[in-house]
Amino acid sequence: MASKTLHRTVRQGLLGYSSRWKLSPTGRLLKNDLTNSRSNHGQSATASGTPYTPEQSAILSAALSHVPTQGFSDSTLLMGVKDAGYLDVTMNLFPQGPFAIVNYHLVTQRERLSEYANSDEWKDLQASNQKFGTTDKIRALCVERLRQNKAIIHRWPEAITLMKYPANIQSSTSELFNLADTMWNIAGDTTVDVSWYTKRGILSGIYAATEIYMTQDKSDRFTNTWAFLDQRLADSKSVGSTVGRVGQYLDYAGHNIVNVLRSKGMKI
Amino acid sequence: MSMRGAGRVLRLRPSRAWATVYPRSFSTAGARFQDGKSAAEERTTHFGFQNITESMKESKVREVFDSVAKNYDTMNDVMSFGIHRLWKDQFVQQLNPGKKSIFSEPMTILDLAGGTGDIAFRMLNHARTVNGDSETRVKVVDINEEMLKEGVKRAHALGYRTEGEDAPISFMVQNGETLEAIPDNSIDLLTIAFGIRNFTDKEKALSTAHRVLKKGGVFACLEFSKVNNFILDQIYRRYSFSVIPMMGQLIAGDRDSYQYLFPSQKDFAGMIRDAGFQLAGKGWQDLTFGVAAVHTGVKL
Repeated sequence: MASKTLHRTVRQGLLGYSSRWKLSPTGRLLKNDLTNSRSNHGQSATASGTPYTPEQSAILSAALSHVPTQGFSDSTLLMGVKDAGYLDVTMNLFPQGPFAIVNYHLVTQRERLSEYANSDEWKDLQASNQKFGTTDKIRALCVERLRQNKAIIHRWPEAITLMKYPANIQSSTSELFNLADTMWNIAGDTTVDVSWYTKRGILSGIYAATEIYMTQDKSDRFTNTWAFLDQRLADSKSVGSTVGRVGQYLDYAGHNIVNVLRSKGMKI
Repeated sequence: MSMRGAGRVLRLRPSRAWATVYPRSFSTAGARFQDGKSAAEERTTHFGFQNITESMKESKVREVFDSVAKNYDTMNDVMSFGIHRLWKDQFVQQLNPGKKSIFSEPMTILDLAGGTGDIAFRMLNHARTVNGDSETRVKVVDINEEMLKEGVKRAHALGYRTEGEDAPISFMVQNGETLEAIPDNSIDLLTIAFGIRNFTDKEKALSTAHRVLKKGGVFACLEFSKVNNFILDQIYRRYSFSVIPMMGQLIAGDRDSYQYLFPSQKDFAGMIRDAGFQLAGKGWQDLTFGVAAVHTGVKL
C-alpha cells in the first residue's frame, strides 16, 4: 500500500494530476471534491468581504473623490484624512501612502463587479441575447469594469506608476489576478484543468493592456478602447487554443514516457 | 548586598520570555513606582534572564539608568555600531511629524520613555525643516529624573526653551503606565523608542497610550524584535548573547543584564490591536532584517 502511494506521488510529481487518478476509487481526491474546492477558492477571492475597516473606507473614499483634481498623491490622501475628520498624523494609517487610494479603487471596483453580476441589468443582458457566450460575458464584464475608471482615467497613469513600484507590485498584480478570477467566475467558468491558470493569466494581460490603452484614448465614449478590447479577445481565442493543445500534447507525451518505462519493467 | 543580589535570591526560575534590561537600553523606561507591598505576595516580572518582583524591577530599572544617563549615547553607539541613529532617523522620517498644511493644527507629540530627548530633537527638527512647522511641541516623559536632566541640558545646548506653556519641548517625570498628568484625548502622536521592554505591564502602558491619544492619533513604537532570516538570526544571536553581554561586563561591570529576548513582530502587533488600535498595514515595519521593528497603531 505504501509503495502504491509512493507511485502516485511520483506520477503526480512528474505529470500533475490527471483525471484517471482523480477518478480512481482508491484515490482520495474524487472529481467532485476537486471541483468544489477549486470553485470555492475562486469565490473566496471575490466574496471574502472588504479588507477595509469602516474608518479606512471613509478616509479612502473621501480621498478618491479628490483624485480627479489632485491625482494620486500624498496631499490627496491628506485631504481624505481631513475630510473624514481625522488628524494630519493619521496618514500613518497608510504606510503605502497614495498607493492605498489606488488599491482601494481596485478592490472596491472588483467587489462592485460581483454585485453587478447579481443585478437586473446583468440578467437582462443575458436574457436579451440568445447567443451570449462566455467570451461575450467576459467582454461585457471588462467594459463594465473599465467604465468605472472613466472619472479618473486622466489620472490613471499616476496610479500605474504607483502600482509598478517594487514595494507595491505584488499587491497590484495579485489584485489584477483576483479581478480576472472574479470575471471568469461570473462568466460561469468552472473548469479545473490547466486552462484555469492560462485563462486567468491571459485575461489579466488583456485587461491590463486595454486599461493602458484607455488612458490614451481620445475617441468619443472610448469607442477605440472597446475596439481594442475586441481585437485582444479575438487574438486570445487562438492563443487559448494553442495553449490548450500544448497542454494536451504534454499530457500525452508524459503518459507515453511512463508507459514506455513500464514496458521496460520499471515499477512506476 | 545590593539590589541586584536581592534580585537573584528572589529568582524563581530562569525565564526566556520578553524580558530585559538596562544599559543595553537605547532609551529609558517608565516602570511603576514602588507600592509598598511585601515581596512575598507580589507578582514577578522579567529582568534579563531573572525573574524578580514587579516593584523590584522598577527600582532596578531606575537604578541602572541613573548611572548611565551621561554615557547613554556612547554606549548605544558602541553596541549597535551607530546603527541606532539610522533607525531613529528612519522612525522619525516615516512618522513625518509637523502640520502638513496651513489648515492644520500643530501637533502635540508625547515621547514616552524619552529620556535624553534624542527622538524628541529629531521630531522638532523634522517638523521645522521638512514641514516648516515651528509650533509643533514635544513632551518628553520618563520615569527617570537623571535622564531627563541630561535631556534638559541638551535642549538648552540646542537653543530650545524648556519652560513655559508654549515651550517647544518640555520634560516631565511620569510613570509611563499611568501618565497621570496627561489628559485624555490630548496627544496627536505618542512615540516610544527602545523603552517598551522596560515596562512592567505592557498591556497597561498600551491602554494608557490609547487613553491619552486623540481620535486619529498615532502610537508608534521602535523596539528590538525578531530577525526573520534564519542565517542572519544565528549570527545576530551570537552577537546579542555573547558579544553584547561581554561588552556589558567590560563597560558596566554587569553581564547578566545584557541578555534579553523580544516578542515576535506578530505577537506585539496583536497586543497593540488588543489595546484598541487599528494597525497600519500589517502593523509593523522591519529595520535591519528585524533586529529592530517599528510598530504603528492608530486610534480611530
